[in-house]
Amino acid sequence: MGLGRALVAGSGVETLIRYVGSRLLQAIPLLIGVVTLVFVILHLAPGDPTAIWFNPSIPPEVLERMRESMGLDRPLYEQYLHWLKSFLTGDFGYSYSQFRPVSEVIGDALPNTLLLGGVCLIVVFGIGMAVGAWQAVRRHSAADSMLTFVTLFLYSMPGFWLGLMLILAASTWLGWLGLPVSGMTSVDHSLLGPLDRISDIAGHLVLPTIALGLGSAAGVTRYVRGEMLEVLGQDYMRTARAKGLTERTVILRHALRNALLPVVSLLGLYLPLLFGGALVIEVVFSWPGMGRLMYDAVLARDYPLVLAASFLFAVLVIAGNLLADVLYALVDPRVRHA
Amino acid sequence: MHEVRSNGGPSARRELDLLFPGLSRALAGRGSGFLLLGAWLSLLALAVYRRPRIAEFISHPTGSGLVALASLVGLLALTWIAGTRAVDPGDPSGAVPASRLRSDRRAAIGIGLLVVLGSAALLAPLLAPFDPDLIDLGAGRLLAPSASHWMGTDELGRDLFSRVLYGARVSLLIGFLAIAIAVTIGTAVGAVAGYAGGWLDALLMRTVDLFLSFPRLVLLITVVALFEPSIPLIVVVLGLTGWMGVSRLVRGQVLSVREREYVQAARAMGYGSGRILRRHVLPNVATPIIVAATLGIGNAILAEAALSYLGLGVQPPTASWGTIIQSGGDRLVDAWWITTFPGLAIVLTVMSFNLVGDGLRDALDPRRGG
Amino acid sequence: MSGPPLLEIRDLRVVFRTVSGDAPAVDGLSIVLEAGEALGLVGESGCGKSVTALSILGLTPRPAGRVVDGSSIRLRGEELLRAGPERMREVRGGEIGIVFQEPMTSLNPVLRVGDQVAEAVRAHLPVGRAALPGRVMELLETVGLPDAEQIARAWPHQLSGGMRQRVLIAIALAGDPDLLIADEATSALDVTVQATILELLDRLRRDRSMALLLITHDLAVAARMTDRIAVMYGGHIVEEGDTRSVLDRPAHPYTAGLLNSIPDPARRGVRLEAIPGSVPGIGSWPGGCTFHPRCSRSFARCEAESPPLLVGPATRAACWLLETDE
Repeated sequence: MGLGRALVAGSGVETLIRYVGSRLLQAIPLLIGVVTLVFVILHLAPGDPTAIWFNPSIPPEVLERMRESMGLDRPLYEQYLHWLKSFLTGDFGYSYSQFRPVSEVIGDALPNTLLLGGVCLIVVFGIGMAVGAWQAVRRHSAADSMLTFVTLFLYSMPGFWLGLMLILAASTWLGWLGLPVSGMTSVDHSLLGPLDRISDIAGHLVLPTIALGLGSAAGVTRYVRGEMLEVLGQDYMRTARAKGLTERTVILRHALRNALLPVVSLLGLYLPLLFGGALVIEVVFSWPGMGRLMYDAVLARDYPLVLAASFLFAVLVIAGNLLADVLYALVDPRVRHA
Repeated sequence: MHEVRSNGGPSARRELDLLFPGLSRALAGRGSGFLLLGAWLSLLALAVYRRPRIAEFISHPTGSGLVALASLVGLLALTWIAGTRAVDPGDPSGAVPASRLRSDRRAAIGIGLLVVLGSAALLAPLLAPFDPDLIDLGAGRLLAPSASHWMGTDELGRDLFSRVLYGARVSLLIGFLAIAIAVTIGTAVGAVAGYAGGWLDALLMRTVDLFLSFPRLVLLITVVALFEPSIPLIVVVLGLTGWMGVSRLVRGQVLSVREREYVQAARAMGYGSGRILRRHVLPNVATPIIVAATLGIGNAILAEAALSYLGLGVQPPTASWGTIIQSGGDRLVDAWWITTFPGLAIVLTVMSFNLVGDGLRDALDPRRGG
Repeated sequence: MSGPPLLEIRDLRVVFRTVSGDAPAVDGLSIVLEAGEALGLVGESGCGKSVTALSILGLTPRPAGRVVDGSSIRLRGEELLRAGPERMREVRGGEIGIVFQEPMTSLNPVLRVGDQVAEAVRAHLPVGRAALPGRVMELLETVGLPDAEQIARAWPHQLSGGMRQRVLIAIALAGDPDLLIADEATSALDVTVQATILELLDRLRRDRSMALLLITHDLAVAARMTDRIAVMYGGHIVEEGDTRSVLDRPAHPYTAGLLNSIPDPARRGVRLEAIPGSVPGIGSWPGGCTFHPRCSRSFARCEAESPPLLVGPATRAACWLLETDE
């Protein structure tokens, strides 16, 4: 495809690097903004913001000394700078519901969320692009109308409810499938060989991925269908047909390539949705990821963990958007020269 | 319709309309006639069937009871007015492209569904067969759906159908209010950014990017964790996390209209920016905003449901669809109805909003077509 | 001329489906084009000329448009309307090439220019992988693009409108067609660029002994480039003949009107005459002679019957005036 050529072809590489560089620079103020927003929310909340850092069972004199040592009695802007520095260096304080530094706790949970999110992303976009493009080519057919209804239905569904329904189904009339309904691993996971371990996790991934992804897949399908329909009406499609190319070539080489491009930018839109959805899905399926971690932290009033998780989710979205932008620049030649 | 007959002629039919609005339309084969007639008869049947309850609401007025009564009267009035309007003698179908009809029909179905759902929510006190808070810890617990309890009962013996009906009020209200806030903020930000341009525009758009970097639910949970959960809080935060799309939309429209000749002419004539914005720019933006708002309500309802399911949203004893689903959590398999039906209600509602939003959007943008 | 003409269209009718019924876009059009000949199809927008071009190649927009039974489009005697999809693909690009009006949007934005030309070559000629780039360069040079190597590697958005149109001409020629259709090929370009492109088309036609069907609304363009002219109005031909005759001694009032409305420095000070009224849209053509409501010389018969092409002094025209020996 264009990727290999894009990387090799002369002027392409420099403009690409420049583009990536500018995108990275733009991400930095965004990160600072995110940290600031979290800080602002914290300080807008009722009650003593500094008190949230401490376990309420600590006696007041110890509290006072800890406060001093952490600089929590300094003026606001000093606190903000301290906050900014620690967040950007990955120091998120101590989680007193897990009795470990927050960064450690998150470090354990983050990969699991990334695994779920990543697999889901592939499924969502894989299905979405294929079905959406197919629908557009078969416009006005019975299958198209039916699919339009189905995608609308799925798109309007709360993800967590779909998850619950899936668990219901998997526990009753689909029970013979043997799909695990909770957790990431089976009880005997550590006793399994490496290949079995992978399939164990894969089995646990099935239901949460479907619950998390089906709604978004429906959304992507609808979008791709629209894009494809628009591309099919473009002048260059007429040129392609006038060249005497086979319909298959016309659709695959000319239509699809143009229609699927904007889908990459859709990634930026769906990332926050995916991560937000992952939060609830992880709770429903007891998946040991950042979402469930954050939820437990809220219930336990473990504020350092809550705030750090919140920040990290935003970082994930920003990073994802960055990747999507770069990917887009790789596949669409027009962007690089803009 | 134009024949002159001694009886049952057009004027006679019109008089029948006064008693049965929509009848003449229905007889002319127009679908709207059947709908209006059906609505009229159903509402009347409801009023008759619920005479005792209505009497009670009048003698012992409660907030929700009065709302229901007012809604009943209002709906009856609307139906009557719509049904007694003069019928056009068959307008020509005109050169409307087939795709446009398709999206108009989608919007029409969506609006129809919304009207039914909205009416059900408003008339809940009259429609609900049982008191949603009526506890029956005896034999009434966890009953499967049956003729007497259409959706079964929950672990406290409360009728689920009634709870779902009343839950509609909470979920819909939160959705509407949240979107009202979101649209207001979004329109203001977008208009200012688009019209002012320069550094203000850049700053505002960066703020939009900032808010878009947070998954909505994450921000919701963070705020709820730090503040105490309450319905006003949820509404406000939902609004504060849903304005970004609208602002981009409005900004785009403002940008495109700003450079048009009639705006430049207005400026040359000395009209102030505010007036230009109001009279020239905003009318153009109205319909895309409506589309965005409609789709946004659906999203707000989904977000609230997720939040309530997590226990961080609407707090008991108030019940929204999300809290009902949560209450069924432990008994997912044994009492599947508690989890299933509220969810279906959510899907139906959000689907209706999406139908309307999609239909409107496609009707406005002929390229996309059915 | 031995054998059947290169292109013969007889009684072509194309209708578009609307909610209020079928609206005709082309209504009984007949033209003949011999090999190596340049024919100008002249008419204002809305007369159906572009639809005609698309129908020749079987590219009528579906499902809205369809060719009505009874129409005939023959390529060297072969009925194209009955040809299968395989055969049509051979024809498109291989025997008939076409250049459209909008160069800015007619190239695929995500493929390099050279690839798009190469694709057209490979579709019709057995050129091997190794020889392909050379062939592409040749074509690009033929259409007057200097620095063919750089152009081949470029993306469409890096080229100007005029350059893109040259690329599209190269694509149309890639399969070595015998007929080139230019559908308003210069209308979207700057005036200066227009002239160069027209020159190019003229040269190419002569060098390759190719037939040219030049579709345009501009009589002046047709005057320069063509051997014969066919004037189109209301979905069919209203006058046709060799270029000189049509321009000097038009028999149809519409043609005369068109000629009169061209600004001419020699007639400075003389009032420019516009044809009264406006072109009727598709589906709302008047009965009888489609031009009669706007014609200053119409009479009763014009409203009643639609005239066929009748022989006039120097041309053939669809006008009842020719039968009244005016």
